[in-house]
Amino acid sequence: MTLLSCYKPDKTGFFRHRRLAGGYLVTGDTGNFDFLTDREFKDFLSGCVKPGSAVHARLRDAGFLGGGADVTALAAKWRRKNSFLFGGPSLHIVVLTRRCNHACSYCQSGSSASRSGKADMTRPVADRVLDTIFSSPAPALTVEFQGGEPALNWPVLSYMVAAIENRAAKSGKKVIISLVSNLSVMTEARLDFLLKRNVRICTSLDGPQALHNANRPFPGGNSHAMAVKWLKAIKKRTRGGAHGDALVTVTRAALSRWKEMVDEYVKLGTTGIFIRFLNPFGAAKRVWASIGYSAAEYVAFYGKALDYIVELNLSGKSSIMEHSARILLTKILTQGDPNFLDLRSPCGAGIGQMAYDYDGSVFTCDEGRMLAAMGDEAFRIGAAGPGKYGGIMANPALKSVVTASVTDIQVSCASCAYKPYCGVCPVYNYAEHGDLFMHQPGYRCAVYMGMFDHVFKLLRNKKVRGLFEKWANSKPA
Amino acid sequence: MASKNNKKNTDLSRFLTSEEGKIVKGDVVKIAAVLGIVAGAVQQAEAASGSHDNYFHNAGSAGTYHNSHGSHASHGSHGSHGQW
Repeated sequence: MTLLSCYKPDKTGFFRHRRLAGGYLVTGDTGNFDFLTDREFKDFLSGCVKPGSAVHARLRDAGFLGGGADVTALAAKWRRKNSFLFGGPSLHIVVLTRRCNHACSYCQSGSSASRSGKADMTRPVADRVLDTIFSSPAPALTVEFQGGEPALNWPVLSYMVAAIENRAAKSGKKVIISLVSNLSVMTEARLDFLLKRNVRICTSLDGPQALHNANRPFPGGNSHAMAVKWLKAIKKRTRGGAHGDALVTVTRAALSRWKEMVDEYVKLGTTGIFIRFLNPFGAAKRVWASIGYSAAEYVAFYGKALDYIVELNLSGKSSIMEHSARILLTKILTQGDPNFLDLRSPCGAGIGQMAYDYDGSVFTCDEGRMLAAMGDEAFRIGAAGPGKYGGIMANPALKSVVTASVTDIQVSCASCAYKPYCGVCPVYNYAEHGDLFMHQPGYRCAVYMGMFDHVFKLLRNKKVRGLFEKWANSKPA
Repeated sequence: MASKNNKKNTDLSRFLTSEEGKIVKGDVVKIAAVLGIVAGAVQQAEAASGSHDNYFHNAGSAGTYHNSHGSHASHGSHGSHGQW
């Protein structure tokens, strides 16, 4: 008898399922999940799970059994999981300049075409950008400075930080300021200024020196040395380095060096490592043959790196956390949502974040802004300035992106067991497939499927589950 | 960087309404209606809850922040997408 022929829909609640690790993973829209053996899954489908058994209790409490679900509790959890929908855009990414002094393999921002000050944000434009940012109804905002290398436009960076403090005080909004920098032009005085104003600083650290510097050439300098020097300085001057963080961008050269990469972060004493995959479009696509990899290759690399981090934790050698896993685990194991903008339905574009180019142009998101830098302004939704917020939010492009990123209407997502935790990226779809909707097979989907598979497999181990519960409930620095 | 006079500006709404697209205008109306109902349900719940508990610690509507650099993947020139 096949599984389908024994299925009695009236005996089950709504669920999705996936074959995993010799059994079945069952998930629901609230994010509830359970692992079932083949036998248990068959009993579940046919309505033969024995009342009073542990499996019956688990399935009932998770809302997977027909008729007995606590709909009120499930609805409350669903609301909490989706509470981000009504907050308004809280992340505002500001490109202070397109200039950069690095020539990273996965980036073209250091191109000679952008070396002049003409690609810098001016103070009048900065004021207009702040007008729009503070028009957001979100009671708490994060302003993230990016580039290029944002510190190359220090006069406007320092001006905006001070202006944000003033506007936050007047508006009553809580604001976090974040600087994403290669730290190559950091000085003691600048660090003083930033830390006194609680600016969080993030840099790239792609692993050991040779790997990092191969990925991120710094003509006339040593990118790795500068990043490490200032990360150490930040750590020394703040409690546990709470205001300094680093990101890994994984290139082909890193695939076999997962252990060295993790060890580099452990050696630095960082609380976490944020391992991120390359996407095969834009500047990276042009050099994909030398720096890129398949989704399967990345998933294999990620699995090894995560296993090693787990091993370090369980053996007591380190308490380092992997942030990509932490984001997935918060979605899987908690009652809330980390509001990671790339993994939401709808995605965060426009309604969770906005990106501002140096000239005041407003985009749905960072990815949309980067697409414009390549000549396609499809995701431009207006210009920053007083009274412009309403028009920006009503822009047809924004509405289209929001509609197109609802996972319920993606053919592949609707029945996927990972739908409650995942999200699509219309900019990726547009750049890769010429459509706002997801096409299959797709690299991004395969990467996330592989990451979810690995995390769920690890969750079956009780010791690892304990560690992952801790990660999921932690607050990132 | 692309020159200003060589900019492309695609109308994204055509992806929602074109015949080869995934959904047609009628479906857009249905989706809007469903989202409206969902919005009402969630807003009612938010109003009823009065205050937010710790589960909301990083959700936008809870009055808290996107936590630093963990809120999205791109990070411009430091990004997994590279700078296009």
